[in-house]
Amino acid sequence: MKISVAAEKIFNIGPIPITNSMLTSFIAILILAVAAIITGKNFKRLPTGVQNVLEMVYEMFENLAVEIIGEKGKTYVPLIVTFFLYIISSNWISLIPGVGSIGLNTIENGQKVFVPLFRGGNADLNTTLALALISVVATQFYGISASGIKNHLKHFINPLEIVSEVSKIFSFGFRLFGNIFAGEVLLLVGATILVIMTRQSSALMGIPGGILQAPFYLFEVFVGFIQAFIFAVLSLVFISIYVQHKVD
Amino acid sequence: METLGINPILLIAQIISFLILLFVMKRFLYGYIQKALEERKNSIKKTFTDREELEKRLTNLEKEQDIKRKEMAALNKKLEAEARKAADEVKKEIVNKAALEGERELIKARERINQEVDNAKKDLAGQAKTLAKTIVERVIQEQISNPDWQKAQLNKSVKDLENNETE
Repeated sequence: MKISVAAEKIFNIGPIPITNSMLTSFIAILILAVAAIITGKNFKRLPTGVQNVLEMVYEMFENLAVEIIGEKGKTYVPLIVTFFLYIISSNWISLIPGVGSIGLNTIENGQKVFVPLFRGGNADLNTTLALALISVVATQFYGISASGIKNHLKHFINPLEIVSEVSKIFSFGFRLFGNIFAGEVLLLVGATILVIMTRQSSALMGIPGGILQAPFYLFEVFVGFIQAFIFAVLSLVFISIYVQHKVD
Repeated sequence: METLGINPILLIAQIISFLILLFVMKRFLYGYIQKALEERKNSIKKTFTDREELEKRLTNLEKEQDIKRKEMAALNKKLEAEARKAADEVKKEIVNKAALEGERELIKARERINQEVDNAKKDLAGQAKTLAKTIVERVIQEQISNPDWQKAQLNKSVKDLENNETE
C-alpha cells in the first residue's frame, strides 16, 4: 500500500499530464454540466427531482448572501453555488466504491506500484489551490467592482493585508485538501486494517467489509458536505468584507 | 512543490475547467433558477398582499354590515313603534266605532222593546177589554137571567121610586 500526497499521472494529452484526481474532477464537472443542461432544458414551474435539489441549494445560498450582504449579494450567488456543487460532488464521487481501488499496476524505479485510476478531485492540491485562487481573485474583482479600484486599494495600505490575502489561498487550498486527503487515507487505512483483522479474527469472519466500513463512509459523506459548505460560505464572507466595508 | 504534486499546468487546467463549469451552470441553469425563485417570491408576496387586502376589505365589510345592522335595528324599532302607534289608533277607532255602534244598537233595541211593550200593552188592553166585555156580558147575562136578582132589582127600583115620590 502506497499513500501518495501528489496525484498520480495516468496519461498525457499533449503537454498536459492527466492525473487520476483530474479525471475524477472532470467526471464531476461533466456530471454537473450535463445535469445543469438537462435541468435547464426541462425546467418546470413546479420543481421535481434534481431541479428541486438544485433550486434548494441555490435558494439556501441566495438567502445566506442576502442575509450577509443584502439584495446586492444575489450577484455573487452563482459563483458560490458552483463552488459548493463542484466541491461536494467531487468529494462524494471519491466515496464511490472503485475510486482508489480500481487501477493499474505499473513499474516505477523497478518496483511494482499500484496506481489508482480515480482519486478524489479535492485530494489533489492542484484542484484545491485552483479553487482557492479563483475564490481570492473573485473576491478582489468583486471588491473593485463594488467600490472602485482606488477605494479598494485602501484595504491594502497595511502590507500585512496583502500577506493575509495570499495566505487565504493557502488556507483555503490546504484546508480542503487536508480534510479530503485525510478522509481518503482514513478509508484506505481502515479498509486495510479491516482486511487484516478479518483474516486474523474468527469473530469478524464472514462479516462483509462494507458493513464495518459504513461508519467511516458516513463520516466522510458528512465531511464532504461540511468542507464544501465551509469553502462556499467563507468565499461569500470574504466577498462581503470587500463589497460592504468601504475604507475612508 | 513536486512532493505535494503542485503543477502549474494542472493548476491552470483546473482553473479553466472550473470556469467552464461556472459558465455552463450560469448559461443553462442559474438564470432559470433565479427567474423561478423571483417569480415564486413575487407570487408569495402577491398572495400575502392579496390576503391582507382581502382581510382589510372583509374588516370594512364587517364594519359596514355592523353599521347597517344597527341602522336596521333602529329602523325596525322605529317602524315597530309606528306600527304599534298606528295599531293603537286603529284599535281605539274600532273600539269607539264599536261603542258607537253598540249604543246605536242599544237605542234601536230599546226603541224596539218599547214598541213591543206598547204593542203588548195595546194587545193586553184589547184583550182585557174583550175579556171585561165578555165577563160583563156573561155576568150581565147571568144576572139578568137570575129571577132572584131580577126580583131584587125590581124591588130596589120600586123602593127608589117610592123614595123619590115621598121626597
